[in-house]
Amino acid sequence: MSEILQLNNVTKTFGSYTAIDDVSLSLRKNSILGLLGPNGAGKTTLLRLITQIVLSDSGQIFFNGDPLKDAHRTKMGYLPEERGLYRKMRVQEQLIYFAQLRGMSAKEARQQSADWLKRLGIENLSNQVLETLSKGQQQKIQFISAVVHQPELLILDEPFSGFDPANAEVIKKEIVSLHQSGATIIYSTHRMDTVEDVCTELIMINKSKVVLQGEPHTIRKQFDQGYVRLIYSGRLPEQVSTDIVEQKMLTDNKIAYLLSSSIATKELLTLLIAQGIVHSFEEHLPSMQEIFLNTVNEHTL
Amino acid sequence: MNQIWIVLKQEYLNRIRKRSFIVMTLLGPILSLCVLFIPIYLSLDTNERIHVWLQTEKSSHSSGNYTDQTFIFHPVEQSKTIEEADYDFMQKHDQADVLVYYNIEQSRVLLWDKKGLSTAEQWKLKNKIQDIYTKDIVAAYLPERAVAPSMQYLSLAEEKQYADLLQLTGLFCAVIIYFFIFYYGVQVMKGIVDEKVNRVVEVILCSVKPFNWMMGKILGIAAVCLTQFGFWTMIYVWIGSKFNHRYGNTLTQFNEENIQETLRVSKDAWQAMEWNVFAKSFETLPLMQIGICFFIFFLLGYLLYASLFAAVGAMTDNETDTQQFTFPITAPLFATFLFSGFIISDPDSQTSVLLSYFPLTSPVAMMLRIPFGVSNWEVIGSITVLASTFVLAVYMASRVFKRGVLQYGKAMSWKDFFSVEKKD
Repeated sequence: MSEILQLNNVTKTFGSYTAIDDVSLSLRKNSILGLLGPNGAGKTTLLRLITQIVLSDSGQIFFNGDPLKDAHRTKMGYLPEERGLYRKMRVQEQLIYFAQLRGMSAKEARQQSADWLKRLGIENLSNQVLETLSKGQQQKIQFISAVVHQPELLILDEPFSGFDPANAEVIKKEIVSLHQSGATIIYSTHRMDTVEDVCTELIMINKSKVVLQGEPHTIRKQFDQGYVRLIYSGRLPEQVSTDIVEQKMLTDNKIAYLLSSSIATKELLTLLIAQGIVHSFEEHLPSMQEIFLNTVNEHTL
Repeated sequence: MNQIWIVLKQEYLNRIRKRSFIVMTLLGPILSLCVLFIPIYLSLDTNERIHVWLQTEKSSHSSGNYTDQTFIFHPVEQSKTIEEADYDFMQKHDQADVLVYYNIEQSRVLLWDKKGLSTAEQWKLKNKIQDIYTKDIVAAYLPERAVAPSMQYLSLAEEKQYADLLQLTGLFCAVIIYFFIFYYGVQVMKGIVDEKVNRVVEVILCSVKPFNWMMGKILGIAAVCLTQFGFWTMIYVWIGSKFNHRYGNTLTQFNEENIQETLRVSKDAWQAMEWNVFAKSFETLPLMQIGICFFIFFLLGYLLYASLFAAVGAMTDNETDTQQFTFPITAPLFATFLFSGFIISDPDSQTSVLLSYFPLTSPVAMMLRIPFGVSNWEVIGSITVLASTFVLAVYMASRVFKRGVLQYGKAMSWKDFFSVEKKD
């Protein structure tokens, strides 16, 4: 069984509000799934359904081929968007507590939590009371609490929020490293740059439904409109001048264009070189940011 | 099971390290003794004073005014015989509560109580009489007569002799049970609401089954409660043994010779006698039954209420919302407490018996009744009802808990509460 997680027609309502509407998806082992969607789309509810914090109204969820059950909780690690730790408890004490709750022995929990504190360079905080730490430090502790028991499936809700760029990079590296060591990771984020860098698969949710699903490059290809990005000096050939989507003046008489020409690449280049200087010429695939905005707007309209 | 144990352990350790726990544990015995004794002292301070007729033999030198805030002394004419004085005393309806007759020659004190004084009032009166008696000895300079008089107290009132002690014992147990159930039940609820408010619940619930978490919390707090209670018991036993050590053995050490000496120089001997009276009346209580029942009713009562409080905690998102659910749950317990006066005055009435069987009121009501003597089968019946209700409550609470806690961001209403069973 190569699928670690499978959702079939899962629906969750809160009163009259449908938070997740007939969602189906499957996730291969050792992949990194990026979960995208505007605020209120249902991302967090979907993650809570997988972690059994809320129960679905209908549909089925399978973990490693078995219907989701209580024992599966210990095989998952969850970093919630709204962080929650015991404010008055000492750092290592709560890491050990959470690790034990997820099936680790006390000794192993102590060892693993100490290793992780060291790995993130905060081993000096192990005896501090949580509320005395900075927000960034608390976020790191929360991250460790999600991964300390070596879960098969790691679920991260906005893992980079609250981190400065340097620390966000540290966490990103750790996520990649956990993936390399065999973990499957789901994370929801608004940071498109990390999605493109890190994810092997993507899902976009809008208004409680899955609106987009697949590998990042395939999705971008899917949205390819045959645009070309060009930096050029000189007058554009007449055949092309009507195809300008965007243009921007740069320094030294250079102009950046986004063209939607239907002329074949080879011909187009010949035309351009004949009339001016081509500084750069590349195929333009839409960014995840653009796809995200387009998709959200399309479904909103 | 393992998860319950881990939650229990963490809950226990977290709570016993808190300053509030240490303060409560140390102050508890003092507070509970205050709860017990303040009403007694307040009752001594009433405006209605007790009229004591004091009759002595002709040889007595008793003089002076012994009247104080509690007692008014009326000397009986010395020409009257004891029978005549007794007759007059019995005929008079006001200003005649106690008739005291004492005879130094015979080292004998007789007290007839027509009013039915409380234990504390009896103790105070006996002390007073002893003072007067001693002063008389000093005035007459009869050191050879300075032996403890044989004090005979005859209650002419209809009440049982030790009714006060029984009532006090029942009340004491009931107060402690009420306090512990309420205080620690609320702690369970607060703990759950707190973890919901600071969002730890989300991290917890992705690791632990809601039922395990609930049981871990309830049992962890029960362990805290038992620790505190164990400490209190140790303190009470220690104080009791100190008293016993100081006064309990004093009398046995006396013989005819040294008792006179001791009585002259030490007030302890008198207190020892008082202690003996108290200890003796204490021995009349079914202590074993009280102890065992107290433990069982206390534990089961706590578990029952804690499960209900846990359900309330699960249904609400903040502490303010807990009010609407807390009141209906605690109302029976509180009502029993209000009824306590009635129960101890008539422990075998139908209402008292009914309250001591109804599971939400039985922990308090039964403890009020037990010192007066309740048959074992009756106690076992009540415990069975309570234990069965507890099992049912845990089952219900875990259902509500599962739904309530997981109903994230939407506080449950009464409608949801009743539809829980249907949904599951």
